[in-house]
Amino acid sequence: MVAGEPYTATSVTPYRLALRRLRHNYTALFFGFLFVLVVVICLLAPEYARYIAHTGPNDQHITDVLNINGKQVDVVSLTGVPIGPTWHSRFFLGADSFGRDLAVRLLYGGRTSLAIGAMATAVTLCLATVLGLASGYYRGWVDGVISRILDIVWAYPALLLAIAIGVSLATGGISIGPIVLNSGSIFIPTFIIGIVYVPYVARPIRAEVLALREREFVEAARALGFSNLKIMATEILPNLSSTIVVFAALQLAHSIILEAALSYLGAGVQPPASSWGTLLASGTPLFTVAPYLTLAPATLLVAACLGINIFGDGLRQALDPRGRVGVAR
Amino acid sequence: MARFLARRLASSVLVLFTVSVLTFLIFEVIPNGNPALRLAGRTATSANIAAVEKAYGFNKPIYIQYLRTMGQIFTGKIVSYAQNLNVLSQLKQDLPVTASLVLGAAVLWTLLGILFGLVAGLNAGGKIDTGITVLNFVGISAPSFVIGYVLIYFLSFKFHVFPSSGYVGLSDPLGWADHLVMPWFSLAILYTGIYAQVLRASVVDTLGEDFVRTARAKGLSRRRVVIHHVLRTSLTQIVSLCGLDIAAVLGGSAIIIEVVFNLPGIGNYAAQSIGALDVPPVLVITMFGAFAVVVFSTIADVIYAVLDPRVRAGSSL
Amino acid sequence: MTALLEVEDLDVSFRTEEGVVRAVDHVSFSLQRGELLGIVGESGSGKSVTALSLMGLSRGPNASFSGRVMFGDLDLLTAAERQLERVRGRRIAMIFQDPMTALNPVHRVGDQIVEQIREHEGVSRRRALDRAVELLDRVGIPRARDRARAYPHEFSGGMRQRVMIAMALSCSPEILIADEPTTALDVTTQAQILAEIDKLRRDSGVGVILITHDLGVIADVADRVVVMYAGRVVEQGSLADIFYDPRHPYTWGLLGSVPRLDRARPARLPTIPGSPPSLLHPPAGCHFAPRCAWRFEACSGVPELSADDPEHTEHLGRCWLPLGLARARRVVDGSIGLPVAAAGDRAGTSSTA
Repeated sequence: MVAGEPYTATSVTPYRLALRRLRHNYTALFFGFLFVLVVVICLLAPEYARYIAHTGPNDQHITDVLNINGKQVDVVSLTGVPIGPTWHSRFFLGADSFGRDLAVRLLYGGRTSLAIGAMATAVTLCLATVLGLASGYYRGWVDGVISRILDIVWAYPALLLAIAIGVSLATGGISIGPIVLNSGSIFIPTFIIGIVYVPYVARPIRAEVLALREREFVEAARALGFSNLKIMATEILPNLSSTIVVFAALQLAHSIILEAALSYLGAGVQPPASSWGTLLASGTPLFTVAPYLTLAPATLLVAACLGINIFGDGLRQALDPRGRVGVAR
Repeated sequence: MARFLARRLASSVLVLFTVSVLTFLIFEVIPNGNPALRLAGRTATSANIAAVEKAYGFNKPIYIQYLRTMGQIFTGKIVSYAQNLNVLSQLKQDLPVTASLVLGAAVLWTLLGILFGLVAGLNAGGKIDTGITVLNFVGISAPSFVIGYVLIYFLSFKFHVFPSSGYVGLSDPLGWADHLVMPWFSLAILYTGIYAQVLRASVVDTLGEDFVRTARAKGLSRRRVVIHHVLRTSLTQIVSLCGLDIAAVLGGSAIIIEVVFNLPGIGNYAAQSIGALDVPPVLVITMFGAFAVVVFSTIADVIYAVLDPRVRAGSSL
Repeated sequence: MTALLEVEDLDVSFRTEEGVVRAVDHVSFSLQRGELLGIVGESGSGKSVTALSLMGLSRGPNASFSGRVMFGDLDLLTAAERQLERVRGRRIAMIFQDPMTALNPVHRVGDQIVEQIREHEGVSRRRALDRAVELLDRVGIPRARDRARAYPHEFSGGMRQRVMIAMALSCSPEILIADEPTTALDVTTQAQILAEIDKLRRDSGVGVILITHDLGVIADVADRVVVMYAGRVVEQGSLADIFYDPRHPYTWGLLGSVPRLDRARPARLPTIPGSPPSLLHPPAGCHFAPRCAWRFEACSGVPELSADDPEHTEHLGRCWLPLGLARARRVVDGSIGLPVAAAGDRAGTSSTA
């Protein structure tokens, strides 16, 4: 652009603008990186177990004795107190009352928690988008029915509803037609968490669709003879993308926390599978003698959620077309 | 105004009814399981199961089952077989504890949330704002029970400032507060973070509104502009949130906090029942939890209509 | 006669994500008691920012100011916020473009006027309300006492603007700044509101600064005119000066683009070719030069705002064209305007960087 020439606009897509803004938001980038770090080390759980800790998540070493700095220490003392963090490759963060390596269990549990969180988020987003689109676009009785259903689900406090379904399914699992889930399947908490959050996402999406459908470009598409489905897919959905992306980040954090709470109470992940929630549940009774059993999963949980929350907020700021004038954060 | 109230109440009643049906379905109709066994609990004896079948009528058509269940609940007869207790009388006993916990925390998080949100919003973009925002996010990201344990570790275990568990009734106000301070903060931190963020965003938005510019052009003092125009508008959002969050906490975080701090409230009762897979208490608590949400959301909507006259005039929101 | 308001070399810049924007560039003008000064220009010309800056309403962490805005002995540009609060609403009042959003939707209309009165004068609530009702009546709102209890959304656009005027005049200010007060209204209401403002001015002697993009509005009520383009004043003078002896090609373009009902219809509506420059990367020299049919080498330097005609020292223009040449060139096809653009008028954007 040459100064003095009549102003000519360069074509920059909103996404590129958003990316540019995001690149300058160092706080968001740092915390996003933090989250990725947590994910990566959890994904590397099998490698850690095999090459560093030399033990699996369920292997018990109650009677083992360790050699630390020349001293012989019981993994689990005679009074039942497990060893604390050794900061060595074996039992890096210590052991639990069954002599299992906490660090290994932490990483494997993390895989479960993160997997459930991610899949539940996917479930929530898919359902919420479909329902929000349908009720916002078609309005009329479709909207009436869907909104009522969302209102009902929304009326239940999320944790309580998740507990209710979890408890109900814990004895016996569920079979609907071809879908059979045993009571120990991790897909049960996944679907429960996914469904419970649908109203929180569907309603804002519905509100946005209601506004978008009145815009001129939708009217133009209709005048061109596009079918309803095509309009929803090619005109409205792309405009929802930034909202959906931001919700994805926030829902991920919510889902991870809900899973932890559910499993902590016993209505989520069932043994022998483990997650951060179950680790917290088994760690808290021993809190006064072995606080690290609680603090370790808590720290990773908070780190992951903090990371995704702040990054998600940075994402929202970057995608918000009404950007703030002034020095960006 | 009266018409608005009538409409709102009618829709609430409909929702309450549907909630009761849905709860019933969740617990008694989900396929693959013997509902009688489920209701009788993991430790059921054959006598228990027989009693359940008689009371709930599982061989009868579904709507009879529903009516029987509702009958059990509302006539106060519903019983937990595993613990041999009348559910409703147990709930009545536990309610004051939970109410103290939740309402106290609500007052705390509302005041703190408004304070932080306002300060952050008025200093938007500055260091104070960034600092408060990061604090908010830590609050949002740390599950309340984690905060609970951390507080216990430092304020009870290491430095004996507060008692780590138990509940003392209102007859001893100092003891009552003493036992509730840590639980209140554990619950409140999450919502303080949320409210502060919401209020901050609302304040920043409102500051850019034309009528705020007009207010400043009228020469109103900064204090008056902030309180009467900015806060007044931003608060309406918080009001509707507050009612809902109280209900959400009742059915959510309160459960866990009561477990952590060993407070004999409804949440603790629910947690024990969950652990024992004892269904009747969970059923009742779930249903009443949803009822609470509907009631509170109606109240919040009414207050919102009082505060914002445009809502009363318009037909749908 | 000392001027009511004296603006000297006002300069306002904003720091944005993409660079520094010079919204107002060396703007000077004065306002006399009882006169109506019109500031005319298109969107982005800096007229609104100028108006807001007079009262310190554009202050912020990213704004920087230089120059002076003398209101009597007080320099409004550097005055403390507390001092400004005492001036705003009481000695200088402002009304804005969109009355729907300018009024607080959750407060009653009467209360909003009462609020202003009580902030500046320590009268009781009842007395303030009486005055508010009287004001509403004066601006032509029927059943004023009942209507004072109504909310903004219960008024029509024109009525709302009258409420704004009533509110602005409630403390008998010496200056009224009206930022595009009629833009959001239909033509009939527009005429009524303008008549209202004019009448109030003549009745109370308040000085009015009227900001608009509409020359018709200016022609109706202004005594003197300031024409702004891309942040700079390009011409200023009396109403007669601007309409009968315009000096700057941009003014010619504005005048020429008004559709004439008393002539044969032209093949195309006349426009000013091109678009206003980006204030992030303004052209060196005259801001209008890239669009000017008469530009020449001198235009790469910024022209001074000066009076070319020794007999009209109040009539200033910012153009290098000598007076005689300007007067000759401004007549196109028998009336004042710019030459019709050549084919391929790139009015707007092109896709090259």
